[in-house]
Amino acid sequence: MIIIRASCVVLIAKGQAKDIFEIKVDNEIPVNHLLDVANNQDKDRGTLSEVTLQKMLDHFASEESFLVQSVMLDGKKVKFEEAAIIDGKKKKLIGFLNDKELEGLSWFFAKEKGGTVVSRDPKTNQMVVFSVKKLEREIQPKMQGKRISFDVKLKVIGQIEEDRRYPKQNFELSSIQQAEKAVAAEIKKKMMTSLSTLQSKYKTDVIQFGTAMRIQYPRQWQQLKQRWEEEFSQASVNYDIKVDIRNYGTIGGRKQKSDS
Amino acid sequence: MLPRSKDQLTPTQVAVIVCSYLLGSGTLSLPRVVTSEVGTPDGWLSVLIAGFLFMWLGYIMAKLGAYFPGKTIYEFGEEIVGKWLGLLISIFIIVYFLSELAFETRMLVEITKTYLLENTPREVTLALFLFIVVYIVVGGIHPIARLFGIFLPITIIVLVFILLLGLKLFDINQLRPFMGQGIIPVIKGILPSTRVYLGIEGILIISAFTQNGKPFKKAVLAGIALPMLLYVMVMIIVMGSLSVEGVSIRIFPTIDFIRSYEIEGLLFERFETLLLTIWILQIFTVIVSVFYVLVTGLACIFHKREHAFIYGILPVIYILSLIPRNMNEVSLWGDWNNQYFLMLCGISFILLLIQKIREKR
Repeated sequence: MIIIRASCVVLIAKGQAKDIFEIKVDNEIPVNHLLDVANNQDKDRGTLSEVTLQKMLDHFASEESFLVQSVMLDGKKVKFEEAAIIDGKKKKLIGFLNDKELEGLSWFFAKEKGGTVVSRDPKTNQMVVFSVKKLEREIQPKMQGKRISFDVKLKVIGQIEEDRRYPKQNFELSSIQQAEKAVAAEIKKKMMTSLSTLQSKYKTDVIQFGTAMRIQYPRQWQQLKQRWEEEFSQASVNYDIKVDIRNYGTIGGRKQKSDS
Repeated sequence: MLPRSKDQLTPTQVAVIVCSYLLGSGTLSLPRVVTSEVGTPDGWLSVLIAGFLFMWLGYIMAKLGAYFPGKTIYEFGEEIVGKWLGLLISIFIIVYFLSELAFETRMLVEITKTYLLENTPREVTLALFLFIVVYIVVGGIHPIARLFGIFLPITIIVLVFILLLGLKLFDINQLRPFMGQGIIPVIKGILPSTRVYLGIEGILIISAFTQNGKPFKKAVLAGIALPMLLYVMVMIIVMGSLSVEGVSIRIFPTIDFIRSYEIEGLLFERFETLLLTIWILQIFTVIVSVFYVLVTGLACIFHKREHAFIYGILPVIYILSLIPRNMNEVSLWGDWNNQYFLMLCGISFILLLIQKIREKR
């Protein structure tokens, strides 16, 4: 019991864990296959970075709630989908977030991940696909009397992967700015829906708002942490999302004179 | 008594001995011991402050030794406060060294049992280890100084290396806020931090083997500063990786930290064996040092040769170190030793004051 290595990766199986350990892929040892898949998830915002046993222990010790990637069988393949919500105080699994909810939440915490955003141009309803290269995030808690709010500042830098707008006008700055706005709105929408589910349905802080509070208001946090779950579900969030498109491929186009 | 050889220790050797004497069992539990008292991530600051405090105390001890070239505390104690009081101080120091020696030996056995040799009986590890210690102590201070000179660079390089490898677990947010609860938690942490500086009392004896000049004092300060930096580094990196609460629940947070990461494609994937290796080297140096100063003390009091005491003391250490029943009792013992140690620091401070007054007359 004493000597379990804390570097083990923890995944939560939906269904029987034993079935997942019996998968057969290219004669590989099932666990190695799982780890390989886990290591290759870093492009996708819908999956979590690995949680080790050490991280779990520390979360439990600090009574922080957190997410663990869940795995399930899809026919004969493993699928990394959904995330288990672990309550840090009760030390129990209290539910699962589906991929959409997880993706929305990931903008709050998963800094190192890439990922794509499919957005639609508000005027023409044509599709713009944006891929993230770099993410700068800042969560600033504010306490006014008893009301707690968070300012979430997000700066997303990336490029257009797919642009279905026609006619192409990407040589014009305004066209790029329009795409940026569309992407920012889409990200904001995703974040807001996921957060409201988290706040109303699960009432657990898995996006480290508590950490931000602890750092910003260490003295008040001593009392707050007892009833943080409630405070968190009441907290309001202000979003400030800036999208910065650095690149749009090699095909552009100017505005037609007749358009203007 | 063994004749004290004419070629004395060089300042570098003094620094190496002091440094090896300080780096010991405390390193593995330090983050927990300090943080469970502090409660905020500022424990590293306590360790730093305590470090400067002990550099000052070390300087005082070096100064005290400088008044009596070629003499250890066992001899110059009598000169300062008279025969009987001096003898009392010597006995106090010897009891302290004995307790410290048995404690360190038990720590070593305990760690070996938990992490390395699970099925080997404690008694076997203990006995084998004591034999090696005796082998080196019989040789006297010079072989000891040379051996420490070999061990110390290895220790420092490996320790820094494995700490830096773990940086991927490091999260600066775990160390924030800086002094969020003000200065009081930091002050609370100073007392528990003192235990890793346990060992500077060795200066009172080493001073007999040096030319007491400025280089000696500088060497002493360097010998304390180096462990201090390593300790602060351990505190910052372990705390930043395991969080305040995570550190508080682990008996040996430093080992657990090293066990929390694996590096692929770097010859080794797991590094706790390296940590335990250098740690055993260092606890070996501590035990050798304490053993040596203890035996020197006994020889001084009874005016006999050291050899008889070296062998005679073995069974006593063996029995003493097997007394605690579990890890909690061992920790309690460590706390006692720490209080003894602080008293000893106080005594040397008083001795220096008396010596200064005597000098003025």
